[in-house]
Amino acid sequence: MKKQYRAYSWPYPKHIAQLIQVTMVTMALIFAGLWVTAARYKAYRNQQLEASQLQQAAKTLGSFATEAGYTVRLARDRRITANFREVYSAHTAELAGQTVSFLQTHRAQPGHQAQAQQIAADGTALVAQLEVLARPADDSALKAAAAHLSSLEQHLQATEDSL
Amino acid sequence: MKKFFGLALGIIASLGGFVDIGDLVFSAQAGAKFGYSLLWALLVGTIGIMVYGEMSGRVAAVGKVTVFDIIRATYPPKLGFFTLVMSQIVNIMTCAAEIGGVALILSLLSGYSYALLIPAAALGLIAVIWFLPFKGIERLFGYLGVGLALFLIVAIKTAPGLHEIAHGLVPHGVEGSQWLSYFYFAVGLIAATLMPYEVYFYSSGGIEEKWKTADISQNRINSMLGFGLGALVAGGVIVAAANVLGPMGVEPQFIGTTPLAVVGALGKFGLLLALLGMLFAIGGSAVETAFASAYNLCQFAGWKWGRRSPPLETPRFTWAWLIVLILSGALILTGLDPISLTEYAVIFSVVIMPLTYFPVFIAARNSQLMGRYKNGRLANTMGVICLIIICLVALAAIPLMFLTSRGQ
Repeated sequence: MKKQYRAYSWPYPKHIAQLIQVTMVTMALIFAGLWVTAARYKAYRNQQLEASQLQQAAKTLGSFATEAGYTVRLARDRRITANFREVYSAHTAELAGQTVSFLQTHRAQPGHQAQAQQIAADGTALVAQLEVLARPADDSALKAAAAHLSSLEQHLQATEDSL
Repeated sequence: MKKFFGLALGIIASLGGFVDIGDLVFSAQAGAKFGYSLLWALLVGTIGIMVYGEMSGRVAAVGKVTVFDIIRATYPPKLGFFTLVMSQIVNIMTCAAEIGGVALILSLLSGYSYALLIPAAALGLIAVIWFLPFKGIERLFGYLGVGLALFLIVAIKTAPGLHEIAHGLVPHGVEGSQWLSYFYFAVGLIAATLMPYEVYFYSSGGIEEKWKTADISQNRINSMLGFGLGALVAGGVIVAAANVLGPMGVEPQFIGTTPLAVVGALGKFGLLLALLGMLFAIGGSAVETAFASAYNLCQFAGWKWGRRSPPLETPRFTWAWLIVLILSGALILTGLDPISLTEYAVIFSVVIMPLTYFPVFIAARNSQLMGRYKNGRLANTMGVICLIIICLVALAAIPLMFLTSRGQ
């Protein structure tokens, strides 16, 4: 049956030269894509942050604060294990840290600098709090963390609304 | 009675065996961000994978050819090679993301370091493939992935009513400035459901299991039930994320956020089961992608392949999956984020989707190859509709990814 299926087929010998050509062309395309992305990234790094980007950063950090607050609540109710809370907080701290370093390596457009600094400061406080949650903590520490996260969430929400 | 148990086991295996990290990532994010309004995209992708899964299985059973045999026979050499190279790149990216996902879940379960668990996860998968028979691998990951059914339970417990869910099955769009992001997630959900490695693995599995023309109805049931139940679980994740995570303002950016959707309703035990379900579903997909890469390479080069034979009897095939797993482990060990890598793999996979599915369609309607088992009118119509959707998705995916900064 298989032999009959030869309507458009090419013979079996391995076309090594063509394989190399195609691989090189594909790699060249991928390299070109990466080069364009790198160039875009360079331009992206040098650009000044607009209000919508600051809004997005505040929203992302706010989402991390909400998520962390929910996790703390679940931890206090003993609905998640300490392992889960610690690993979860460590990874979330890493992700929130990326957003903060993005803010710290860019300048905001005139008129939005105060808000950018406020978001970066709240983000830094959030990362520090998440790093605390990534270590063993008793109930009183969790209670304090929940209050701190809630206030950070409100700050970030207020900054997002002001943009 | 035997048939009933066979069907029950098939259902259990499908619940965990047809969901991967791409489904989990896009479903949780789409549900939390847009509620039920993207359920239609999951439905479109599911119909597509059912149609093309069934065709590729039927071609394997009747024509004794796999998807890459068909690609080789349909395309001129250069286009065939291009499809091979691109599919290998996408498979390795997907496999790396799956290994990262397994390591993250093991880390959440055990508390051990994520970086240490990456090589452990890769070595564990190699050991499973080496020591277990083909059927055993399929059953291990399929049955133990059943914990994902908890998302369905939470979806049922928290859903306000069938009317709202049915509303999500019809495209409505969104108001305001979010529509580009909405279409990015729609494309992501369709692409995640239609990932080409699934048909590479499915058709090669048919040859491994020596399907005959007598197995055609079994193939039809497998593709409908398997992919259908897998989609049901993904739908459960969307609904659970929409009801639990969305209202809190959480947009999951970490694989550990997804199981939080079940904790509120089902507690610590629910979390443990959901994590185990995710662990085995993602682990199973890592094995499938590694196998798909090895199948593609060996079928294209005309080498002996198959996991039916002991690993040392098919040395090139064995080296191929071993290298893919080691390369993927090394790739994720560089510090790449599994979620971001998953999103890139899913979006870039759309480039090879038309190149993969078009030859399957041509082969399934070829009367010389398929005889009386060639596509009927319904299969041809569905095949053409799905191909058009696949081409539209392929054209839109990469621009949408750049325009929305990956759905932000």
